[in-house]
Amino acid sequence: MRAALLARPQRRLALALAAAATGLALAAAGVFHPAPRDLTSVPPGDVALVNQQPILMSDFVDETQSTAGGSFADATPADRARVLRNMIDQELLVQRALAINLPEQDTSVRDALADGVNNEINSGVLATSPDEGALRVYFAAHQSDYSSKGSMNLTDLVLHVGGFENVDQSVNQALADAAEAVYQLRSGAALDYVQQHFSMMDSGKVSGDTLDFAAQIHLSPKLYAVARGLSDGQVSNPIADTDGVHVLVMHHRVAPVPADFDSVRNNVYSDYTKAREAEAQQENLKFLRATAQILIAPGHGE
Amino acid sequence: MRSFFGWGPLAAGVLLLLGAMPSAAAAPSTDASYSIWTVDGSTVHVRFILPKAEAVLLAAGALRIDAAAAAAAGAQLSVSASSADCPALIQDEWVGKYYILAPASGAYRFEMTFACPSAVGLTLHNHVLFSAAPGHIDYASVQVDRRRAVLETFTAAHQDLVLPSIGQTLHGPGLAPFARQGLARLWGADALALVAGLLLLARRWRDLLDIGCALALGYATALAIMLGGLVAPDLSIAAAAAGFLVAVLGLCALRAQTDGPPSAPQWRVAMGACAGVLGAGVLAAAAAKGLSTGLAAAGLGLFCLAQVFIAGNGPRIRLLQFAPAALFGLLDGAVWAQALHPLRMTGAGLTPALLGYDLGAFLALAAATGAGMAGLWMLRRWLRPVQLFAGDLAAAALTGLGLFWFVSRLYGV
Repeated sequence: MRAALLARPQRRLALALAAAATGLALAAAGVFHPAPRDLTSVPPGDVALVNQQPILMSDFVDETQSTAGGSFADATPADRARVLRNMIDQELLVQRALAINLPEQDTSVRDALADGVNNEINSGVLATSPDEGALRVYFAAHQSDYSSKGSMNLTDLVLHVGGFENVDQSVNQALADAAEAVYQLRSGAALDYVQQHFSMMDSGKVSGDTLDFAAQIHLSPKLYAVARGLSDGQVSNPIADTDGVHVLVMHHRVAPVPADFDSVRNNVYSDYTKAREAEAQQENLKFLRATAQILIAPGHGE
Repeated sequence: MRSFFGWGPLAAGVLLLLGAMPSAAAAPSTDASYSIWTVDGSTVHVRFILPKAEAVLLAAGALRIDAAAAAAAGAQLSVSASSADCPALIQDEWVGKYYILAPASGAYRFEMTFACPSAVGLTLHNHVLFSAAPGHIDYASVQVDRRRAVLETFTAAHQDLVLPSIGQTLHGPGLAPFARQGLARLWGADALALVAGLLLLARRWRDLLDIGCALALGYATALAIMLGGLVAPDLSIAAAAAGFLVAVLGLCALRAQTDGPPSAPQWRVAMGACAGVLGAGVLAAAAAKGLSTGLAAAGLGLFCLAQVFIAGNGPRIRLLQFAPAALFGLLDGAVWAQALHPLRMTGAGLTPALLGYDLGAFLALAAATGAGMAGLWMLRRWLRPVQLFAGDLAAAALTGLGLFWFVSRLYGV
């Protein structure tokens, strides 16, 4: 038999058979995989299986303790049975919610899920207390947020350029007129006289005592930057802006006063924590976006 | 037998295939839906599982395919009790009659509940898709009053299912409808190609017995494996492997039709090209589809080379030449059984269906091979002048077609 196998034709045949068997074994390993088996008993570490989904013993212990208000050992069998029943009911409802695709259909469920993920992310931030140095660095970088509220009472005179009524007015001409108006105002001329003489308009963007944040909203960034530097009675230089040339006349200015760190430490702590939470959430989203495949229909964008 | 083998027939075969590929590319038809009926007293709950291709057909261009398909399919489902219609419950103001579930495994799913006036004379009606696709079939798991679920089928000819009276057991349809599906397997392009490949290898009437044994072994193994429930096939890899077996038969036929050792330069070039293509295919499959696909491709490649060698080594081990038939039976039976997975039925409930299908498919393939052999025997006088050329051409065509099926099914082309 052995001699026969060692003979050349038989050996080649035996090798071919071995190769075919090996090939079949490899192919079978690729085509077939172990079928998922239903568990028929509750594995260690779980207290129950609901449609093959485990309810952890640790969750059951925690829930019993929080419900019964004592240690798990002290909870009565009736208490434990009631808690377990509630947990099984909840698991059934959660499974049903997933089956009917509730997270895709109900906005409140979507919000709750998104908040849940953000809370998970935030827990890492909340677990570590910021040191004093980090708070002071944050305070220094955001000092304007911790100042008293400033206000301003000003008139914003404007010479419009290029509009329907000012079609012949050039910017250079308006700048020259505004410079003359500024000269006269600084020389003591009355505001009404200058306004009338140079046909300047009150833009009406701010009137009366206006808090700084409101003025910042109504004035353009260019005008607000000049206005916040003016003091009582000062007149600005002409400012060329998109709608014409402006002259700001500051009647009364209350500048914001920066607070000292100790008096606002609690606010700084809270703001610092919120900023770190937002940062962590953005980092998480950045990671999720980097690993996600997002396709957007033609004609739409984000 | 001296082969006419040369480059001409091979090229001609490949050219013929290019024309045949688009129609033959698809895997065995999946024109099927699934429904799970749970009857609890006078309340009937149905979960309907609709593959996306069928859902698109029903949605008729609607933007929200799941909702439109659920509405269209739901309107075709009903229940009656003693000839009185059972109203479908309004689930809530927003979802209406249909609870649309999360899609799973490439299928849309929805649920409905019917409240009947009584539990007497219940009849389930399912008319979904039968008018648009007469060949459509719905596999239904029907469970009455918490007894064992029974596998039923709804077809164009059988759209109503009368449930037994209260206290009696639903017995199911037996083997017949599933055996019919097994018999219909013969009209699958890959099954016909398999029969053609087996005919190319068969030389004597005795070979029919070998082929029958191989097919029986394959389908019996599939039955045992799928009822055992220990392993399950990966559907796309298994369908691709079934296609590849056709290519194996084609190559075996080419080799068997060539006398003596393959020393001709064409053979060396062809074998080198085959080995190169197989190696590249294995690497590409592993890289693109993962380790399982790579393993399957490597195993099939090795099996293919061994089979080609065996095919050229005389009649002593002819049974092994028909190993692809056994494997085809195994894969076909396993794939069909796995396709019923959405119903989540246990082995015992599936036994009549699997047994019926495997029996039907075995009989169909064995009978077709026998009929083919008889036909060739009767026409042998007229075929003799073109026998060698036609044999090589057909073998080359099967090789190309099998490889095409392997690639297209694996990559879902």
